[in-house]
Amino acid sequence: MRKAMVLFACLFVATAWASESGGHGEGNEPSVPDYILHHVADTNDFELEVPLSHPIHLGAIPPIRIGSCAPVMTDHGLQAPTGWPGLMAGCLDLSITKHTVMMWLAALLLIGTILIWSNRDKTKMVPRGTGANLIEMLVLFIRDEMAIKNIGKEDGPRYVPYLLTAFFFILFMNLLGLVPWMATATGNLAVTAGLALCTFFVTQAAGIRSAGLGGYLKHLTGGVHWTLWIIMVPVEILGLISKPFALTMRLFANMLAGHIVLFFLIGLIFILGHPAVAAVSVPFAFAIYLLELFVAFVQAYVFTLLSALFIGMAVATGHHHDDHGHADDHGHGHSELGPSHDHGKAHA
Amino acid sequence: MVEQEPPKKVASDGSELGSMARHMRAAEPYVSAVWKLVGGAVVGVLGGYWLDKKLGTAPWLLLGLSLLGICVGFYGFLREMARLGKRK
Amino acid sequence: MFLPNVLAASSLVSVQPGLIFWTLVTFIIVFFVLKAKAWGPILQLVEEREKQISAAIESAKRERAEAEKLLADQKTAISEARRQAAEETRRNQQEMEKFREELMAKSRKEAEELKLSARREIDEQKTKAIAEVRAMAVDLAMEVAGKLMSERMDDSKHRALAEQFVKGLPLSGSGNAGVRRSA
Repeated sequence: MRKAMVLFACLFVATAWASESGGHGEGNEPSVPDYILHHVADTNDFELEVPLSHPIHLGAIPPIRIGSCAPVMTDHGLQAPTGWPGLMAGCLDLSITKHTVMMWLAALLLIGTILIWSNRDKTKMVPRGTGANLIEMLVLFIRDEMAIKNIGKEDGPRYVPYLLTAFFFILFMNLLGLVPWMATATGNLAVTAGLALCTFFVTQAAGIRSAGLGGYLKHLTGGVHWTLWIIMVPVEILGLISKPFALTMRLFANMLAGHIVLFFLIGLIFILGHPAVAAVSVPFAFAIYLLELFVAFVQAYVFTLLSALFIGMAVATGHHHDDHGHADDHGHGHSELGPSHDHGKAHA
Repeated sequence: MVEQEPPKKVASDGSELGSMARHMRAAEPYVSAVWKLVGGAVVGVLGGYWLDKKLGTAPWLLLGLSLLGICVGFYGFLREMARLGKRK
Repeated sequence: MFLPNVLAASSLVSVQPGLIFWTLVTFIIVFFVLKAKAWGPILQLVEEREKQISAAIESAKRERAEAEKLLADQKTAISEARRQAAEETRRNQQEMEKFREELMAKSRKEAEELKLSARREIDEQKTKAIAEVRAMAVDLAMEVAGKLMSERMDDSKHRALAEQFVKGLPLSGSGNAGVRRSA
């Protein structure tokens, strides 16, 4: 990682010098905002970015589209999603984009790392080696400090695998974005929305599991007369969605903002047009880079923590409903859910 | 309902919970009550606007649904607050 | 310059459903792979270890309590034995004392009896002796009186007389002999 940082810094210094020798304002050079926005945007074109010059095109993966996808002609070419009908028009664009590839790369790296590090002598009770110890430390941290402290001793351990996966997956995507020539998948709203959707589903499942299907639906109606459900149910559903929405925006904004600030600091050299600016902005950019490393961990942590908190609140809502005379609904729901009787018994 | 209180204490004792989780859980009913108040209006306005656009009945559905949404939100809010007050 | 910027920026905040789909798919695959291959075994191992540790602590506590209980038992047993021994000694002593007393009492009684029988014997002998002496004195007196009067006295008549006389004599020995006699 240190090597990568040094490389990164060198790259920017080199860029600064190049700006003097190459000059600027030739017209076909991309402007700084263009460059930044292009860098953080998602495309299905793969290119190797060359500082201050046109990127080297690495080729594109042909788009994959499912459904009725007649192209909508626009002035700006066929850039998804502006040039194509959206999901509402019945077209699902499953194109493999830059961020999809980054996500897969992060997933592969994650699975590889975790499998290598967790592959230890299972007969020994104590882990041996840095990797195994590190993983176990994190596993224990997430179990004890997140799951149990936010969900509870009884239900917490059940959600530990989910929280662990979310934490490491986000962390790897965040860190991968800090490697030069890579992109931050978590800086894409669709990716964070997908992750938040996972938390949303798990939260709802936790609510149903704890309150029973009847109790869950009852909670959804807000406890008002059935004639008012037409207003109340959307209100409650919006309330449920607001939490994962906050998760989505938080992760997306944090990951994107850091990158934009980083690039903008470097871009300052070109905007001000003097290499001396590099003396200030490169150390600043380096500091921001270090901050970004920290943020990569913090955001993964925060996402996981909030997920645990939301799951815990859904579980608590279920418990709270038990206490208010929905015992019949509760029992009924559990019989539908099948393998969760142990939970009901704990209450009785 | 009163005699169901002790088992609740046993089941969700909460001593192992972190302070944040405890506070969030304590605040959750109030947040949900306030959300009912606000969300009722929001749903009424947005729903009315959308239906008006869809059906071309502007501005009647917007007005009607907004009023209904505000009333339902207020009703839900008061109900929730009454329930919370009774529980205390 | 402005329009491409806006378009690019709008592509930042637009959500591609396809990418959401891919995110969900990737996440679910990663979740199941890691759950099966890493989290499950690690958590199981950790739980196993915690169980073992708590079991070890529990058993250590139990063993210690047992040892303490054993120690206490032994202590009470020892003190009980000591108490019993003391009790035994005390009882023995008491018995000995009692036995000694009994023995003493018996010997005292025997001595008393011996004394009593001796006294009775003495009394008997004394009475016998006194009677003999009296008889002798009567004989003697009669002989003396006969000689003095030089005449043959009617034996039985005079004997009664002499006896009457002797009876009237003051007793020279112990008074109680005389009392018994008079009684």
